[in-house]
Amino acid sequence: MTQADLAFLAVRGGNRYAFAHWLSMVEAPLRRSLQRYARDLDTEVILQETLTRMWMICARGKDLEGENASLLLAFGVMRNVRREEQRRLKLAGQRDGGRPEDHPDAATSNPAPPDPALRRAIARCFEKLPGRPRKAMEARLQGATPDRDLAEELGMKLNTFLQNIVRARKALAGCLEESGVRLAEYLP
Amino acid sequence: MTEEQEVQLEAATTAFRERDVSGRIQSSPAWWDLSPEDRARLFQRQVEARLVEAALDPEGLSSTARAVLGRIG
Repeated sequence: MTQADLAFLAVRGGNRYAFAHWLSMVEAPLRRSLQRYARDLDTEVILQETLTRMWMICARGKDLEGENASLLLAFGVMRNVRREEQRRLKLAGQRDGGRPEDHPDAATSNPAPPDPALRRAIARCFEKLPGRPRKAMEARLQGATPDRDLAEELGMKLNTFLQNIVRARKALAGCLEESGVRLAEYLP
Repeated sequence: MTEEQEVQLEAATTAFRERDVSGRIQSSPAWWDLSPEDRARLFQRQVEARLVEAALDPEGLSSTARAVLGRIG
């Protein structure tokens, strides 16, 4: 049983902390599997809806069988969410995905939180970012707030806020490269 | 990419998504404005962005995970 499976089982009854831990491990492999649909579907929508449904499933209590069972279960839920969205948007059926056999890497991958060395390098570079770009990027971390509200809180116009995030991403990537860290090597 | 294109892409990179009156999550308006090629670029940017966000978060959570946790209350 993987760490992700253990976290999933601990959610039973509504343990939000365990669910957060599970999210930190499974988000990346789930997102990666959506790449083939990115031209036709807003994959952020598919992923968030999937994870929300997984909360309901695991809070109710769901037994797991086999290695990486929680991740495979999530792939199945995501397939249904994606098909619903394709029907809603009247998109023609695309290559399938979501069944365990469609995700051979899911059976062998070991979902894990970000690498500790990468975390340290990113934190160092983040601290070096100029003030306004850093503040803009930091504001985005909370996730559930529209950009226009974040921009207003920071006293920026929306376009300026977005420009600052673009600058922050470029500066962060440059700093990591100078430190010998290639972000691409850590991508799922 | 031009600065304007970069900003357009960034507008769709956020994890924030509106909900309709029934609670159904909605695609980002900025996403609808992107060409298929830019949507593919957006996907890569989101992958990188979420990795950075998770690395900066004390619990290793991205803004996507934070948005979901906010949704479930």
